[in-house]
Amino acid sequence: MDFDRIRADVAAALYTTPDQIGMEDNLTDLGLDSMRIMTLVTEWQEQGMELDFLSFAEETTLAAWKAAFETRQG
Amino acid sequence: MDAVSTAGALHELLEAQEGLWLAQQLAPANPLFNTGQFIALDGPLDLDAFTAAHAEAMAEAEALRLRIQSVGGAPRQSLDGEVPALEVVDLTGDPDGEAAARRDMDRDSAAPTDPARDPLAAFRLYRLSPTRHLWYERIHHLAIDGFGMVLLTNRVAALYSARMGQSAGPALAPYSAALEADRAYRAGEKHAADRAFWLDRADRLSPPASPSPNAAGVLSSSSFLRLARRVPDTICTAITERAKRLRLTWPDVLTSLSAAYLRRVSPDGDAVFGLPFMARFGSRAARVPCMWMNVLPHAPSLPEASDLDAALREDAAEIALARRHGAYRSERLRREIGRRRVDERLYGPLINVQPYDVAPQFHGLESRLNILSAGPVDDLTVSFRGDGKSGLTLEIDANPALYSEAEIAGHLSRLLAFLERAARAARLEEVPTVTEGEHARLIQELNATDQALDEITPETTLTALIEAQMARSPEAPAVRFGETVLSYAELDRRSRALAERLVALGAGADQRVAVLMDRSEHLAVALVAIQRAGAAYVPMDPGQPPARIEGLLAQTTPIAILADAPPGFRVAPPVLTPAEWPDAPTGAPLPPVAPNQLSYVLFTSGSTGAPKGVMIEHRAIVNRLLWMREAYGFTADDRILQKTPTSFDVSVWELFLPYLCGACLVFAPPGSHRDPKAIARLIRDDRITTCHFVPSMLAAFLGHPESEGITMRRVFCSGEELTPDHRDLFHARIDAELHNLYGPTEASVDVTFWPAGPEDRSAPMPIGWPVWNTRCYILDGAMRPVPEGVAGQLYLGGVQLARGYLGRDDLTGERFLPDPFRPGARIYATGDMARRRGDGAILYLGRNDHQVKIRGMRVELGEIEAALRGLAGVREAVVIARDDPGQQRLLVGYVVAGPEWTDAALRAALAQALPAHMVPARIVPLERMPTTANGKLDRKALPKPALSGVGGTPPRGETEELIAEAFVSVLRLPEPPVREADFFALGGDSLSALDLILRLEERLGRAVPLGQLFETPQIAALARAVETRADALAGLGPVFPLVAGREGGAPVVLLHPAGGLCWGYRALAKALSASYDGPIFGLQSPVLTGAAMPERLVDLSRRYADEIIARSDADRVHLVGWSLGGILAQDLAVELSARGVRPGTVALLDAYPAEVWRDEPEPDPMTALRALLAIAGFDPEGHPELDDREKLMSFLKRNSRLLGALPGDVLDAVVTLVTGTKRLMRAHQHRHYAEPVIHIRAAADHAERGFVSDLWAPHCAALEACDLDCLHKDMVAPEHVGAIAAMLAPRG
Repeated sequence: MDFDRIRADVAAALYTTPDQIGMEDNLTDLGLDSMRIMTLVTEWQEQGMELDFLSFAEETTLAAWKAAFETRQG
Repeated sequence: MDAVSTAGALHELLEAQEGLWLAQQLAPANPLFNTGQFIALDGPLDLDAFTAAHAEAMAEAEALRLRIQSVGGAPRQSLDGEVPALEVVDLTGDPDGEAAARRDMDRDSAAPTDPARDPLAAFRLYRLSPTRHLWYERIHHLAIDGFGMVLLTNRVAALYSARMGQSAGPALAPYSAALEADRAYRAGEKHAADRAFWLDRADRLSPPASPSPNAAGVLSSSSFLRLARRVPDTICTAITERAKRLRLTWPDVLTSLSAAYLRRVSPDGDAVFGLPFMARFGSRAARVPCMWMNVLPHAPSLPEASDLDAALREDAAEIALARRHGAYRSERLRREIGRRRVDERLYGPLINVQPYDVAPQFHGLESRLNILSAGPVDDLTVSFRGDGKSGLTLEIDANPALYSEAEIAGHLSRLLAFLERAARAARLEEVPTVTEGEHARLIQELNATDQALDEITPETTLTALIEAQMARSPEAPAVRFGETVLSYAELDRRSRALAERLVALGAGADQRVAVLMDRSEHLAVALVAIQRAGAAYVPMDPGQPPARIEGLLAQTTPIAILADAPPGFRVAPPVLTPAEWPDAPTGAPLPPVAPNQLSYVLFTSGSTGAPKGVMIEHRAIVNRLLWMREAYGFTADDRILQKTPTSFDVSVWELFLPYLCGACLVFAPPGSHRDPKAIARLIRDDRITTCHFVPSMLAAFLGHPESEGITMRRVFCSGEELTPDHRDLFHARIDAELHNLYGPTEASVDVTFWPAGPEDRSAPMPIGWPVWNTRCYILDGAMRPVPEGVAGQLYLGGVQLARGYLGRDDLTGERFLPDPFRPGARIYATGDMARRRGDGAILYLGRNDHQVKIRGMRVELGEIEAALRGLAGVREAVVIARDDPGQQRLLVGYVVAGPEWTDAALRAALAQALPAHMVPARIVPLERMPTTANGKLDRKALPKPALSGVGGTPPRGETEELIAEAFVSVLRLPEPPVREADFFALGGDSLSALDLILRLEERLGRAVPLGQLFETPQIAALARAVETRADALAGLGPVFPLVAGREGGAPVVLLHPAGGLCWGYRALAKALSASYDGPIFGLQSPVLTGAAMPERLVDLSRRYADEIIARSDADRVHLVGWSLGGILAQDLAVELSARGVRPGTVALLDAYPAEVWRDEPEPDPMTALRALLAIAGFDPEGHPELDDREKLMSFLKRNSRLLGALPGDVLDAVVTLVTGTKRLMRAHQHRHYAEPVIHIRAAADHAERGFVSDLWAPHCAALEACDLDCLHKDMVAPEHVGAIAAMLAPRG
């Protein structure tokens, strides 16, 4: 499991490709709504990632999520 | 933001808190703002670790310390409170500790919280055993929301687990983060963008529909109903898979499908649901346990006929869009689109899918979460909790004012069945609304009315049945009209002769013979003759305008016309008047008649255009008549009154049923059917056993003195809505069965029945159950059965259905449709709305076209009518929406009511019961309702009201002026408002309401409850409420000052009679003051101001003695009491003496000691109530009509300035007192008074009871007896007080 997986899933949920999403883009503005984020995080947790759900809630950018991801996995 | 954490700093409320704070202010006693849950922890809990983890988490969660108070009129919050402590409750010794814990939680949750004073949170850990604990959390909604609760609970779990060696994770964020995020959002650009989004969307948000027919105007209750069930895994799997396939989230799919179900069961209005939204993503409040959530209004499109995949995608996209703008408060939106009243909602039921709400993970422990309350429930909340993988729980919480437990259980089962089907459906329209079990009950079981007519009689034509009876009882009287009586033999002879003639003219199967005749024996002969000739009779009211009769004849094309007199215009078919009818049969054969031939054709008015001729066949009307004969046990000694015009189908049973049981048909004289007096005489003189009334005519009949005491076997009502009031009045005056029947002409007179006996308490009154061989379906717009409790259109099936409309196959095709549940059968679309009660009985809800929109809001006119009829003295009420040219649509009411009811009084009274938009602009009192020839209400003849003076009048009096000024300044009005002006109509909202209240308190110098403004938002009404409140409470205190008197003088204390009030002593006090200069005051019962009824009479004496000693330094006191007050005076004299206060004069005014009361019967509650009349100064004997609580209370409200002004609870206290004091009197043991007593006896009373002054002799040292020539009740009335004063004067 790595961050690319997160990125790919986010892109899929937005009906686009990973390269189309900037690290600082606000994912909520791109159309990723809270219910979707919640189900994504749950899926990732089920696949074995150690994630703090709230870190994904506070700031909805890939950059923030990468930081949250690395803190927990590290 | 250190300032935030500093105790004492004041902050504005978060936007999310404002609405809740207002709501709690409006309902300070409602405990449901306490949200609560408990978690069952199983396993070896480390108590020290738990306590420490708990304390740490509580310290982090700052919101739990909030105090919220009003500062200068605005709510301000501070973190001033204590950090909540965990209370550990040891129940290990309790054999049923679990139950004890639950009771304790319930007790704690049931206490309302005052956010200004009380801690907002409480936590308890119930230790049931070393391995089982219940952790209870109760937090006011102002401090927490559902997600916040999860944050807090998980934090405790994480800190506990950290003590077991796990990672603790990050701390909760400080409250300042929420305050900052809130401030930033309010000031930011996103706020404006979100606002624009919602204002644009609000155009599509109609007032919300509800599954409850009573939702409009109902506020949340202080409790809720809850039923929960686990969602079967098959449903979870199907929904998760469908969501995955559509690349949607399962919570959104679940939300959409639940919305589709709720829309099905909410037929009135448009479905708008509230979707609770945590609103925390991308916000600094994400980690703050606090109140942050919002509720997003959502009006799903979800077209039933579309591809469901596409519809789900579209709906999910709409919801996602709403969430992107979901930080904008829905309360704010609601105000901005002008829904200002508390009951003008933005959304109906809530749908809450909470995938995050699972039990927290405590290391080494199993945990189970139980939600106790998530806040007030306005209507209905459908919640799904769980993560969708390990299972889901469905909970329905409901407002008990709107739903019964059985109804919620129904929704729960139906919603699950609906989800099961919908999860796999290609289109919503293929999913039934009701479960299979319900379908079987609604379509089959409740319509199991099959009855083989052949078993009763082998022939099934009206002709055969009549002829059989003629042969059975030839000598018996068949028809009576005035002095004329026809025996069955005579009827046989004359009708056969005429039938032969008609056959000669061409009568036969399906041919028509027009009948233009008034009531007489000739009419009876004519109708029977036409049946025997095998033709159909077509009645036409001879009194109609000729043009209309010509039109009907043209549609009918009769082979002959039977008429009292030839019509005044040329007609083609032969006209036969009775004089021309043959009298003796020739013996020519009559044709056989088959059950499928027409028996009659009856014209009904089409809602538009020409009248429609309804064709009824023999088998249809035979079913109706035989059902009636058997169901009500008609026999040969019945005498059935015929008074309904033949053009109205009720006449059909009046005219033919007698011949099916050998009874006598009695014709009312022409013209008498609208004269209550004539009908009453007829019923008495002709010993009528059965008759029919249209309910409005019944009301007029019951209102006439001649109807009192009539005895009959049975009375039938139909044609209009029979109300519970009609029923109750009927049984109070008339000794007879009462039956409510319903049916359209298109289904042979009546198809349902309801016995409205004296024991029936139904309100509203059902139309009941289907008659023989008849089916009633209540269906939605897609012809699907609706569940019990849900409104739908009523469809009828079965043998009584008409063949169709004469010559109008097009109209027949529109209203007579294929039966969707019985291949080959037909149903008739009545156009009537109906719903089934829980027991399956059908309720009539009015025409489906009776609903009107007023200012965009749907209004059921029937509801306003019911409210008007609920006012005492209003006998009949009709409300219409007038669309007069050049004017906006107006609601206008018409009433038949007592003279005390004026337009303004009626509207003021209605404004107490209905939302403003439902109060008619004018209510016109009428002498009687205009009726059509058939006795039905003639809506077109209702007069157009005068509308001048609608503007209003300037405020009157100081209070009104003061309120008007406050309106001007709070609402920044350009000019002073009129006294009728409504605060909310002028633009006031909940926030400005607070301003107004503060201003009023300042100016009036007393508290005005916020609730009062919502109750009476009009200047005049508010002023009245404020004034009566103050006045009413002023006169209720324990001491009722009467005469100030000389300071230091020995006081005269007047002791209250049974009602507890001393208001009746004013005249006496005045009379006493003429010759006495000391102060005079009354002592009133403490029960009036909320104290409990004392157990013994001496308890009162002690209390009164305290009061007297506290109030007066004088060493002497004079005691005077009338009635019960006399007993009190004697006992108080003993009490005061014992305390060293010397009573002077002790005067007992027509009071008698306890022993005489012991044998008196216990007063029943009604007698006690009626005693209020005497207290108010009315003679109870003069008002025998006030025989129930409601009538009495409204009489007092109208006629007694004193009692009428009392708040309801005080009146209740007076009633309690009257009954309670009788008990005290009986149980009282007199103490001996060692001084003299004066007794004044009402000499004009007590003739038979032996009440004499001497009865007091054993209870005092000496007795001075005086007689006063008056009745007991008048003793302290102005005309006698002078005499009393004179009798007492010499003693000073």
